[in-house]
Amino acid sequence: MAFDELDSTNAALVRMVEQGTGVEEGLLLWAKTQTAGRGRHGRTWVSPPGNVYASILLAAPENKTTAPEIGFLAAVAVVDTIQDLPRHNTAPPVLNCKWPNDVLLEGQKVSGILPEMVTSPDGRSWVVLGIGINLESIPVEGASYPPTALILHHIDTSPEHTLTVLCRAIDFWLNRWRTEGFAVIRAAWLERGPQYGAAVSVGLTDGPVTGTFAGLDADGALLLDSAAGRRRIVAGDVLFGTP
Amino acid sequence: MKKTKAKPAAKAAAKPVAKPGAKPAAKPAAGSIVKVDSSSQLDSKLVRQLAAVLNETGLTEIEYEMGGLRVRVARHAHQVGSFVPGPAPVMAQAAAVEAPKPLDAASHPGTVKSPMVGVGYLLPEPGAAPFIKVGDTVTEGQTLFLIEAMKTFNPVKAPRGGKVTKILIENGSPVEYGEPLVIIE
Repeated sequence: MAFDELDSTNAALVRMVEQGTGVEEGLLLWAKTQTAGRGRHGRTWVSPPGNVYASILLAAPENKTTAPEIGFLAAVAVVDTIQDLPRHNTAPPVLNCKWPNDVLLEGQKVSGILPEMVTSPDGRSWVVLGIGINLESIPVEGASYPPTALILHHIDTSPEHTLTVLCRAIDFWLNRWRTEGFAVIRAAWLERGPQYGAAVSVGLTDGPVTGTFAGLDADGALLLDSAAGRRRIVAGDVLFGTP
Repeated sequence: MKKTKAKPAAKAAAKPVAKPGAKPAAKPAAGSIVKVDSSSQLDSKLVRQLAAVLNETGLTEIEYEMGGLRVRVARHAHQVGSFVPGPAPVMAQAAAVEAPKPLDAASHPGTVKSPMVGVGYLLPEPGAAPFIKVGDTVTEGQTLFLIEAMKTFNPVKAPRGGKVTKILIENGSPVEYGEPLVIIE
């Protein structure tokens, strides 16, 4: 479903699920602009026209504790999507996943993903998978990480085409996740992720922690080696490459 | 040491062997819970020793009692069997320690437990008013907390209406699967 404007594609899709208006898996809300785009924990996602703002509805896994794995497969799908978009120069773009599910282009944030869990009145659990990709504009200020847009890297495409490629990529990785399990997604993420040993700094609710990247735990938690030993992090803002 | 009892992991025929001189293990990882009865002084060396025993023996849980202080060291069962061997080195298992509490929140009928491992938030976003306060009356289906895991946000809803008598976590604190979050009576 395409809209010229929504408050937030995630908020709108959550409302639809909570109202139980005959929703089904694969339902996609796409808005040309958002008036109240959201990031992690109440942050604003600046949403001028020209970029991708979309939310896709997916059935939550039977074991709801594995639902966060969807964010990782989405990040892998976004990397593959950008890789497949037409570009004016021949050099392939350098794309990386940033824990848990941001996508960096040449080290700058080009996409953010916000999965939210929601239950419909019939008791079914869903994941609303919100995805923003900067095609032609970036936030001027207030970004939590240096931003970029595809157009700055000679990738000139439309939201419509990007969404078509993105849906195919999500479908591909969703099938692999459901048939082969998270190990495949974890490996795909690590292939596209930071180097082992890369400097990493994580903002936690009680302050920042710094150390080096030591991989992902079996459930996707970030493993970080610091002077105080290995830490397992399930929530936080990650900044790579900071002292 | 008066009593040591240990539960073997799955079918492992491990014997409980709590060696007093066991080497201290790595610090409990982030996300582990350490709870102690305020009347007792927790011996962190003891906890580390028990954690080391846990790692050595492959057990999932050790309970230790001495002079009225009971310490239970457990590692999360779902992490024990599910670690995928790969380039990442195996982390030190998180240890959880609990002492007996006068009110057993885990078995209280009004307890709402965490549906997942993550970080619990009492506020919808920083600076906002909390979802609930002690003394509030909540209705079934009302959002009580948000649990974040890997940036996936999961609202915890009230399974029934009632009065909030106790909130058991702090904003931004790590929560384990099944950890009591709130009591609604």
